Amino acid sequence: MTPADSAIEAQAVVFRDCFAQLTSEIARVFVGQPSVVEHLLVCFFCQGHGLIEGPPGLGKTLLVRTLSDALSLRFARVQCTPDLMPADITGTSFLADSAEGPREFAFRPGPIFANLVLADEINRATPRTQSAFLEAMQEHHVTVAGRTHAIDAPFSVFATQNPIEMEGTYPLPEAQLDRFFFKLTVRMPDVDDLVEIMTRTTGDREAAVTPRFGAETVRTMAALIKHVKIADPILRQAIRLVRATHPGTPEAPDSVNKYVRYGASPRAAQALVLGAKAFALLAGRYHVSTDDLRRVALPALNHRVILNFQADMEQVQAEAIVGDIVGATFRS
Amino acid sequence: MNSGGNARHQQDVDVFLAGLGRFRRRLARLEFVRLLPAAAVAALLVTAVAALAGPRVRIHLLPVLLVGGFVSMAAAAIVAAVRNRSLSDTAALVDRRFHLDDSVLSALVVIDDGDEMSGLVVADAVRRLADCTPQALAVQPPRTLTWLAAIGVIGTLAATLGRAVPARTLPQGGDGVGGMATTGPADGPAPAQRRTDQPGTNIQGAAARPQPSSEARAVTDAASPGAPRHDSQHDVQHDAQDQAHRAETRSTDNSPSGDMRQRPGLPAATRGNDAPTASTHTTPRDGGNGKTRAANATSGNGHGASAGGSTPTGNPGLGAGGVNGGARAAAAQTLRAGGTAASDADYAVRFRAAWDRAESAVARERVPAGRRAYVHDYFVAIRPHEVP
Repeated sequence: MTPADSAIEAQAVVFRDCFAQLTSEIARVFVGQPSVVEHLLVCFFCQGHGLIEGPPGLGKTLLVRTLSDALSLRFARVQCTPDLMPADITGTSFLADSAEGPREFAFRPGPIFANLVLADEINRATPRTQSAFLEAMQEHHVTVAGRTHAIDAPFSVFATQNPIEMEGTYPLPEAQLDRFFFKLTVRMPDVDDLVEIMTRTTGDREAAVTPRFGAETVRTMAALIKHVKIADPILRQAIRLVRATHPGTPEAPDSVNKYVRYGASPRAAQALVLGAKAFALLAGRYHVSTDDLRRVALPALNHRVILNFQADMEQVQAEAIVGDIVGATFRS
Repeated sequence: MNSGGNARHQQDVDVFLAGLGRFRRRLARLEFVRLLPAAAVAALLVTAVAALAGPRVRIHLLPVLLVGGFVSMAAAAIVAAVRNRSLSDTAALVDRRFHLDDSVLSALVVIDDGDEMSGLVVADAVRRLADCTPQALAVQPPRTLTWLAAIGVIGTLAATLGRAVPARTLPQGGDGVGGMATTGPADGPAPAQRRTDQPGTNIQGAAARPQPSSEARAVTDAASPGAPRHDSQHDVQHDAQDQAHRAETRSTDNSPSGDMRQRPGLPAATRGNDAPTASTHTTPRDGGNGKTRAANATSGNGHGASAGGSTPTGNPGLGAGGVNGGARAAAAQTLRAGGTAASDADYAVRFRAAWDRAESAVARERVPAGRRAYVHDYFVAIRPHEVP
């Protein structure tokens, strides 16, 4: 084994160790939902943004806060309400005394400048405030008063939203939904998990999470993920997956033609490939397989498939449509 | 990568490509094996076509089957070579069959990248390929195997039936002179008569051969102009007169066959040869008669016996045309043999007239193409000395 090869393999081992440590730390506080935790970490290491959806009380906020506790990173939480203003997120300029004499506008960074941002109940913020996230999430910088301020890496926004309490909310527009790398759905825990949750939260012991590593490690891991190879035929399968979400395309199954108004964008393919690369590294491989694509298809596509009115009427869920798409694509 | 890493990477690449090449060759062989059923069916179909064309074109089936099989196998080999999978297709198939998580395909794609990660991918693929053997790739039956089997069975049946149907219209062994008349459309009486002209000719043995057409030819060839024809004229005359009398009687008693009625313009002898088509229901009793007459013919008394032998005694309605034609042939033979009723010149004149009518019928395509040779052979067999 050459030194270069051993370095890459050592990085891969570190990546798997980091992943295992984070999973373990999160499991100290957050009970169950292993798939959600796994995808959340993949999303974080790929430097994507995640949308976590679920009914109240299932630990969405706790999950993200625990992740931040397990990392030595700057963390910020934004509780979105209808009166939240964009400046509350991006930061604001204020008139301040300067050392030279005359007063100048100084920029006070908002919570978006943290490494890990939790936008809690993002669908309660107004569209104007929601759009304040757009530039930051996509471009990794913020423009205030004509000046552009870069956001340091690593940078991830995790937003939560409640799907059942829709009164007084502003559903995220499609353009903003597309900026989320994954959409993760937190479901009701089973009985064993509930017992464990009760045991942990109603006793006198409080679980503590130890920060494991910092920003530099995260940046290295993110770079390593991008080095994972993907063969052209596998890449084309990812493209076929995305194309199959568009009604009228040759790859689209019948359910897409019937229930989908608009399909996924090329960003979805980017999410598919990057997420699959991370799963490949976790599996000890240096190349992407179709199984990796299959594992990330649902969280990468389900919020990017815009259903039509007929789907609403027949209560067809996007998850079912994505399942059809995955089945049709990998069967052919 | 440094020089050591490059050398190791190159070694991995060589091992990887060699291993993949083995799988590729294995797949090519499997493809050839997969095509073999289709090749076998093609050979069978060719043989079936040859068998069905048998009455018109004399073809030996075994060589056709062998040549067809060889050509089909050669075609299968060519198709297998043309359809041989590319390396990437082979890699994808190996990944799928051995559940290698697309490692072989990925290694093949990144093999020329030359960076550290591609080296790891290739090394991983080499490790995984080492655990797989090409022999584990088994032959997968083609999806059309059921159809191919059905076509093969149909082809075999067609070949068998196609061979069997014309055989029933040709002379069968064990029936002697009567067998020729009852089963052979055109060559039955001719060889019988021709052989009965020659002393010591074993008609029964000749009729027992399985190739009637070649038999007729052999008999015709044997009928050289210089061969003696009237060695036992007295016996022949007597027998012929008797046979003619009996045949005439039956002919008037029985209703003529449809076959005879359909071709009134043909010479009597020709029509007589067509009669066996209607009298194929030879009873054991017929066989006995035929054998008896065959024995007679062997002793030189069989001239004209075809007329009598052709008539199934147990089924008088059948073979009437044969009786009629046979009777005329017997009468003609009487003329030839005895010279009591007419001279050889008269026989030649009547032969010439019958020959002309036969030629006319052949020219107007009244005689099926496959049977014209029999008509010709018949007339050659009964032609008088003076007719070249």
